[in-house]
Amino acid sequence: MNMWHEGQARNRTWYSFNLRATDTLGDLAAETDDLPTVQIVETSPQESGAVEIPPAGAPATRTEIRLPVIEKHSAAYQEVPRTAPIQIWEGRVVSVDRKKGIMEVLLSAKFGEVPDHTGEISLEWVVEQDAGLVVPGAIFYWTLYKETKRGSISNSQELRFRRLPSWSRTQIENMRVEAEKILARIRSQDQANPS
Amino acid sequence: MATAASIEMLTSAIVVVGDFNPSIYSPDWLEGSQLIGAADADGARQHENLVLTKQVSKVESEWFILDVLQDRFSLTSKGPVAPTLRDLAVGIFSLLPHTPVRAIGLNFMAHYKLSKDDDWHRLGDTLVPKTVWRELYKDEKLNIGMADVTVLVQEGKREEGPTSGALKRLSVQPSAKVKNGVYFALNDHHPIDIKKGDSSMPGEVVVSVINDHWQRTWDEALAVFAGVIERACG
Repeated sequence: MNMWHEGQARNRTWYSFNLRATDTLGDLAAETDDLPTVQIVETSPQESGAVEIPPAGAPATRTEIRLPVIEKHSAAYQEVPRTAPIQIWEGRVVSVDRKKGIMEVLLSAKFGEVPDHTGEISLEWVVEQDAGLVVPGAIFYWTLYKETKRGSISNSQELRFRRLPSWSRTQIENMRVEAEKILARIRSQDQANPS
Repeated sequence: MATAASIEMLTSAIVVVGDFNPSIYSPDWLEGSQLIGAADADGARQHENLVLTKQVSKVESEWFILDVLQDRFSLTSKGPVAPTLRDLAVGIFSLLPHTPVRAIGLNFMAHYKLSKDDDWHRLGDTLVPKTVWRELYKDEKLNIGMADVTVLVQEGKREEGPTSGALKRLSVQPSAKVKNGVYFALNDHHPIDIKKGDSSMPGEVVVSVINDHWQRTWDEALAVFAGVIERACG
């Protein structure tokens, strides 16, 4: 059983380009109040309102808790910076040189007919929370994307390592017991039907 | 894709319908289970939108929003869509394989900006021809426009009906975020139906669907969205 798990890292670099020096820059965020409603389907995204909870340390009073309201807003209604991927590479760490502060990687592009290629990435792009997860074989995703915020457009990048949960001792024990049961069944079947 | 449009915004959401205990899905649990890093967990704990109750939980970080109600689990991307969203959903359901689930939807939503004003009208006129409506609303002072179109794609011939509960819903609307823009949404819906005697656990089936379909649905969404624009706008 593979106990080893990959980590997650994130870093951002902003490169500002005057990609569209036209009047479209300020026109991107055109929002109206008359939003079309999206038919609610059970596995489509929905918006939910906030639940109010009393602040910590508040005097003990009777406080009404309002459950969230499920509203028929389309995802278009969210007020967040707009991002669209330009290219995503799935990378695998080939080797790590901590003295030099670099990792050698193998990159596979998601979009377009781009052949796999190797490269070196500085460890400065790996955030502290994931530094210990940079080991040979670790998988990461390097995303180059366009970000539009309040009328400005920039190219940005993020590096995130893949995270998989580690198994608890109970889970490992349960799997061991299950495996033994399966093995016993196979053995008894072999004895019943010798080839 | 031809230069008729540019994609301005892409988001993804993995939605699962079933029976959940929202109070489980806390930043502490996500960090303790090594599904997110320490900094992400700290950010989520301090986030103004954090909610943790028996009926509802909302955990928000820089790159995802996790909303869990007692009958619904929703994991939505924040910032650029990346396979880490898939990995997080897979990790959660791997650790909670006994969660009763009934269906899963893999969703991709995008806003495109059309390069020409005429293209915006042309797309609406292609998907919703105005001929019928003009015959009913003859007054030329009235403007008739497309507000929403939803198409279902299912296996099975029309005359025989669907052969499974799996289906895809494609929606097209004018964009509320992008001027002269169009909003697309693809919902790839999979019912989870575990038969008696089947040793698979519900969470394992969810993991399997996500691993098998998420990437494919992403590719399909971009291809279909671009395909609609190309065919409508030329």
